[in-house]
Amino acid sequence: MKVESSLSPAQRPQHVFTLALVGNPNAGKTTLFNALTGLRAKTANFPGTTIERRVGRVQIGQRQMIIVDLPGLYGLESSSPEEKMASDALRGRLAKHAAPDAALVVVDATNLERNLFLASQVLELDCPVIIALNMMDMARREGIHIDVEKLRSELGCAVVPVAARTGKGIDDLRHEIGRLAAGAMPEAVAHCKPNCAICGSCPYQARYEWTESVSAKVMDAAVARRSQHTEKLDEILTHPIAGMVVFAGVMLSLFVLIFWVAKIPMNLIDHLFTDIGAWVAARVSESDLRSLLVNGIVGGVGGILVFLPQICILFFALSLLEDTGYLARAAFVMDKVMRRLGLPGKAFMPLLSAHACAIPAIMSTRVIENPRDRLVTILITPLMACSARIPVYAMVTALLFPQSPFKAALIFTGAYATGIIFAMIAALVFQHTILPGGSKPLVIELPPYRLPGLRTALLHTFDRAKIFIKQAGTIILLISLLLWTLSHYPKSAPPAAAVTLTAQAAQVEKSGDAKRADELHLTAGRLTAQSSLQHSFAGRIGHIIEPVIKPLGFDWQIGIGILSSFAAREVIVSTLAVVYGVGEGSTEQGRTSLYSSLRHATRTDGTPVFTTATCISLLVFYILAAQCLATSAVVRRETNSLKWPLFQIIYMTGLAYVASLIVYQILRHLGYG
Amino acid sequence: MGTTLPETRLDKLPPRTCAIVCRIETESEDIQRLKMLGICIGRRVEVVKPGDPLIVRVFGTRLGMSASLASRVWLEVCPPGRCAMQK
Repeated sequence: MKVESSLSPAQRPQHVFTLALVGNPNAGKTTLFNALTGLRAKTANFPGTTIERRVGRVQIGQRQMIIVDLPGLYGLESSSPEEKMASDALRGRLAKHAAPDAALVVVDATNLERNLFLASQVLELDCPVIIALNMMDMARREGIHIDVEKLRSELGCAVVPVAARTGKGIDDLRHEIGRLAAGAMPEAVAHCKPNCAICGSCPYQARYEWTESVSAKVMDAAVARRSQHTEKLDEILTHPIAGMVVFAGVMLSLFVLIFWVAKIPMNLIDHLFTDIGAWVAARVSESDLRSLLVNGIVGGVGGILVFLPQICILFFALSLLEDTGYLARAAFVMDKVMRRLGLPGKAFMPLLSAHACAIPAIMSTRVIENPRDRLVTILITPLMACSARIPVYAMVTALLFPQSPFKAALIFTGAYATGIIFAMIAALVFQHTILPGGSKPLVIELPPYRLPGLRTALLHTFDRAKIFIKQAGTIILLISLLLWTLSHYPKSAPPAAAVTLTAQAAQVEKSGDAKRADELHLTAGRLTAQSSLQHSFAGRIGHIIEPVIKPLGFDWQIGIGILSSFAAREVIVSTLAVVYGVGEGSTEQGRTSLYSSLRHATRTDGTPVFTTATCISLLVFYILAAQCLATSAVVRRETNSLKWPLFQIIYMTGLAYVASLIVYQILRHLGYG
Repeated sequence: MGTTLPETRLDKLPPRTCAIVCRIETESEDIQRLKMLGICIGRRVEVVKPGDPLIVRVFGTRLGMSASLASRVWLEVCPPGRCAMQK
C-alpha cells in the first residue's frame, strides 16, 4: 500500500512531483538546493507566516518537479516556529498544502551521528525517502571514512554521497531522484523503520542509541581529530576578551562596508538616475507629465534602487559569516551583553547595520530565531541613526553652530547616543509590557569552521535584493508618486512678484545683459516653486497640522518638510529650501548659502524661525520619529502584519512628539526660543 | 575530578571531564530544545570551555549554552579512563 503512494505520482503525469529537502541546520541543505535548482528558485512565505521556504522547479529526466527547501531542523518535535513549520510541511499537516511526494534528507557526513537523528524520524514517516550524504569531501579531509554501502544496507534506502559545494555527486543524486519520481525505487518506502518512538520510556534516548549504533557500524572509530582547528579557533573567537575584540573588528568592517563602501555604488545609482531624469526632461516639454516622469517615476525608482548596495553588501557579508560558522560565535560572545536588554546576541548585528539603513537591518533580523526577540529588534531598529538622518543633523548643527565644528560634533554624537539610549529603553519597556519574556536562555550549535560558499552567498544576496524590489519597492514607488501628487496639486498661478520678475527678465535679456536676466529668471522660478508648494495639498496639510506641531516650535513650513520626509528623511532639507524660497543648492557652496538663508528665515511676525529651541526640537524629532515609509513597508513584510508597522509609527512618533515638546518648552523658558 | 561519583551540575563540570546526563530540571520547552540538541538523559557530555556562556561537546557537536540553563542539567561524572568518548 505504501509502495502505491510512491507510484501514484508517476501514474498521474499531470501531477507535479514535489520533493522536500529536509536536514539539520548547517548540513549544507541550502547549498544542495542551489546546486539542484540554481537561479530558478523562488523564495516564498508559508501562507500567513513570515517563515520562508525556497521553491525551485526543475526538470529531472523526463519529469518536471518542484523542489522545496524547508527550514533546517534538528528533529520533528522541535518547538521553534520555523522547525515546527518544516516538520508540519513534511508531514502534510499544513492546511492547503499536500504532503510532499518524497523527502530528500540532507545528512552532514562530518557529523553523521547527530544528523541521523532527524533521518531516523523521517524514515518512520510514510513518505518515500532518499538520503543525500553531503560534505563527503570535507569528511574525507577530516579523516572520517563512511562506508556508504553499509549505511545503505543499515537504512535500507538510497544513500547518495555528494559534495554540494563542488557539485560532486549531484548527477548521481539527480539520477536517483528521477528514479524515485518515476516510481522505480521500491527501497524509498521499503526501508528500515527505526521505530524508536515506541520503545523504552524516553523516545529520545532510544533514538540516540539507534543513531549511535548505526554510525558506529558504518564509520571508523578514529574521528576524534575532526574539529581540531575549530577548537583552536574557538579558543580565541569565544574568549571573553579576545572574542570581543575580534567581534568588534568584524562588526567594524561590516559597518565600514555598508556605511562607506556602499556609498560608491549608491552615488553611482544616484547620478545615473539624475542623468536619466535630465535625459527625460530634455525630451519632454515642460508639463505635469514631465514633472511626473522626472520627479515621480524616475526619482521614485532611483529612490528604491539606491537601497540595493547596502542590502546586497549586508546580505552577502551575513551569508559569508553564517557559512563560515562565525555568526554562531558572534551570537555566543554577545549573548551576555544583549541579554540585559532582553535580546539575544544575534540582535546586535541588525542594530549595528541600522546605523547605515534600517531597511537591510530589518530584513536581516531573520538571523534571530525566536519570533518575540525578532519582533522587539524590528521595533527598535529604526531608532538607530540611519544615514538618511545625517543631512538633517548636518543642517541643524550648521544652523546652530556654524562657527564651531567642536560643538557641531558634540551635537552629532549626542544625536547618535540619543537614538541608541532610546532603543535600549524601548527594548526594556517592551519586555516589561507588551512583549514579555525576554530572550530564551542561549543554546546554539557551534558548527565547525568552514570556508564559505561564494555561490550560496551570491544567490542569497540576489534573492534578498529581489524580495526587496518586489515587495518593498512597489510600496516605495507608490509613496513617491503620492508625495509628488500632494506637492504638485492643485495647481496655482505664479505669484504676481514672479510674473513681474519674468517680465523684467525678458526686457533685460533684450538689452543684452544675459547674466542679469538669468538671475531674475532664477528668482522668479524660486518664487513660483515656493508659491506652488504653499498652495498644494502638501502646503494645505502643513497648515492643517500647524496647531499640532506649534508647541514643538514648528511652523507650517516645517510641517511640509516633515511631510516630505516620509519619502526619505533627508528630503526635508530640500523641501525647506523651496518652502522658504531660498532655492535648492546641491553643491557645497549651495549648501552653505542654503543654511545661511534658512538661518535668516523669519515668521510672518518677523521673528527668526530657526531659534536654538526650534533647532534642537527638530533634531530630537528627527532622531526619534518614524518617518521612513519604506522602512514601514519592510516591517510589514517581515512581520506579515499591518499591526506592527502601525504600532511602530505610533510609538516612535508619539515618543518624538513628547520628547520634542519637552525639549522645546524647556529651552524656550530658558530663553532660547 | 572525583573518584567518588557525586552528581554535579553541567555548569560546575570541570573541562575535559566526561559525564552522563541524569536529570534535567527546567521548563518543558527548554528541555525539548536541549533534548533535540543531544542533552538528554543517558547522553554523554563534556565541557569544552567553562564560563558563561559555556561550550559543551555532546553528540559530536559543540553547543554554546548559557550557564543558567546548564545549571539545570544534572550529571553523573564518569570514572576516569572508563569513558569511550574521551580521546
